[in-house]
Amino acid sequence: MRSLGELLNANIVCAGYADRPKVISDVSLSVNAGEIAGLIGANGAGKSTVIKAVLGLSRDIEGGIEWNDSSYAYIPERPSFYDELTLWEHLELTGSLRGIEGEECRERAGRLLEEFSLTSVKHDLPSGFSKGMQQKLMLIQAFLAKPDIYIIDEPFIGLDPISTKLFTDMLIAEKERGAGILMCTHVLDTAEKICDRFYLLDQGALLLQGTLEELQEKTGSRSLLDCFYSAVRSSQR
Amino acid sequence: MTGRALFFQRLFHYWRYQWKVFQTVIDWTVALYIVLPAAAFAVYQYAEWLNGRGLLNGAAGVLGWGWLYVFSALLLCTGFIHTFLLEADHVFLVHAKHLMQKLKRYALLYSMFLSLIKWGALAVLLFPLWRQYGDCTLPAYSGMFCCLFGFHTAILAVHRHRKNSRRTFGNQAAGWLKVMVLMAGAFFMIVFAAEWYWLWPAGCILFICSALLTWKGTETLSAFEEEVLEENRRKLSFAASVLMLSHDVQLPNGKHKGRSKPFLYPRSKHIFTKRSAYTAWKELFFKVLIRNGGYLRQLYLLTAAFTALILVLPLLVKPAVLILFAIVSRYAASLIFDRITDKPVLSGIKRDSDDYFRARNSALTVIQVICSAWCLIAAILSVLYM
Repeated sequence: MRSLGELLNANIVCAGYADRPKVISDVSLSVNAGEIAGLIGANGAGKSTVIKAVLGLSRDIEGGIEWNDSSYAYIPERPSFYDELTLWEHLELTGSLRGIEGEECRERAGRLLEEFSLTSVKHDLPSGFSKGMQQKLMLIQAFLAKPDIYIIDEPFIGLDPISTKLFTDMLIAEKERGAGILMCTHVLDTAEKICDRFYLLDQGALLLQGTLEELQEKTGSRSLLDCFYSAVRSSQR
Repeated sequence: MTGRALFFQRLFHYWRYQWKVFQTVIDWTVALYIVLPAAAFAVYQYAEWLNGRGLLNGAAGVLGWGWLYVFSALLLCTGFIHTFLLEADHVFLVHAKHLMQKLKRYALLYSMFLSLIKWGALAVLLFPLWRQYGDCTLPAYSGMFCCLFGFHTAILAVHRHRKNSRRTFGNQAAGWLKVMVLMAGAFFMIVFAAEWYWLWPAGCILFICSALLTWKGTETLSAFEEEVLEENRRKLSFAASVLMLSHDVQLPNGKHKGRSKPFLYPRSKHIFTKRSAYTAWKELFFKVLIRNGGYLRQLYLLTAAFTALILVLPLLVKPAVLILFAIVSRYAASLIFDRITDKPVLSGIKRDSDDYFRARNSALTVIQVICSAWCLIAAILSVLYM
């Protein structure tokens, strides 16, 4: 059943890769307008596979994904860009393809470049950038689009502390604008501060879900890390 | 492990990979019924050419001794000095630099040997033409190939130096200038080929100089990343050619970290002044195409193959090849267009829009017209002058 303000509803019966055992099974999640949902799991828990299944990038999937006519932007774990286009060309491309007016696009892109300190390299090719700068390009592209939903896979890898702060502030601002955010990460300190709801994943299955208070109640732990640890431990017993 | 053992191991893996790529196209039935009979026919034809007969003797006579220029140009433009370095060597062999240096030395010798084999094979292949059209003695003929081999190794050495040096415009231009001078030297030598007693020493001196230059380069590992990148590209080049027209398989592109600004359309200049989704799709396609050597190479190989066919085939067949090329070039361009626009960076952007299909159609037509016009010009010139 879809609730009011629900932007994304995913019921994944199973998903994975062809000719291999299924990586995830029975994972249901939803993202509402104006909330940040955190997908939490250890390495190899199946977080990225869930994201791929939600985005339709996985061929072997059983289940249903309802987008509710929402536009979305995806920030992958590994920066993905055109080696042949400059940073500015990427932003202009995003602007034109998403129907953002020329002047507005330039103004918004210029501001984002300024905030992420990339103005001086805007006419450079991103293949020569550091990992953090490439990650910033992905963030800027997503924020430029101002979509209804952000799907973010491990966004903090490679980001310096200033950019991490800037990024989390922007996410909160986007949440306040009414955007829904699905973020998968294992940086639990930051996730605990900014996420409204959590999906705890282990070995491809959903262990627990709910707000931090609900998780604390279910596990009897205090921090998100403790909640996750005790949920994983009790599932392994 | 010794450097020699490592070299033979890498060489084995390299050729096993190429063999597997080959097997994706040609299975044993094709080999048995097409490749082997074709090889047997080629040997028979070669024997016929030696006697001044054979089915393709007439076609060979179209260019006559000019075939030497064509094949020499092709060989001089190809080739590569292997290093057989892998990315993982950085981690595992960093404490054993001498092993990598030895690996590079063996790889250098192997590359030079490969070049020698190529020129030797060309000398054998063109031998019947020399008997019919050549006007020099046999020692001079063989000396010419020795000299061409020397020029080739010198060009390979210059290319290696160019690729390993910093990717500034000056360095690249200087490298290409040296290559052009060497190519001009090689053709000057063919045209004015004289006596064996200066051709042989000239070839040997060129070879020794280039071998010494590249041998010195094997001592340093400062261009490790560039060497690994180039080795990867070479390893994938055959697969890229074979899978050029495949819809499902896309090979990874080597990334040059050193290149910071595009040469064409610098400072993010637009191709189309009007900004819309339609022009954005087209601009994306054309900018990526003209700045990506891999895609350009695919179109170049296709165009070169059809141009050669149009040049040598009889007049009646030329229009059919021209029409076929118009279709194939559009198909190849459509594959490139789909590859360019099917990237995770564009996820969230709908591609099933009117603008997308209009842009695709228009871009493919531009490529088709350019390729067809090129081949039409080649066809007209071949009718007029050949």
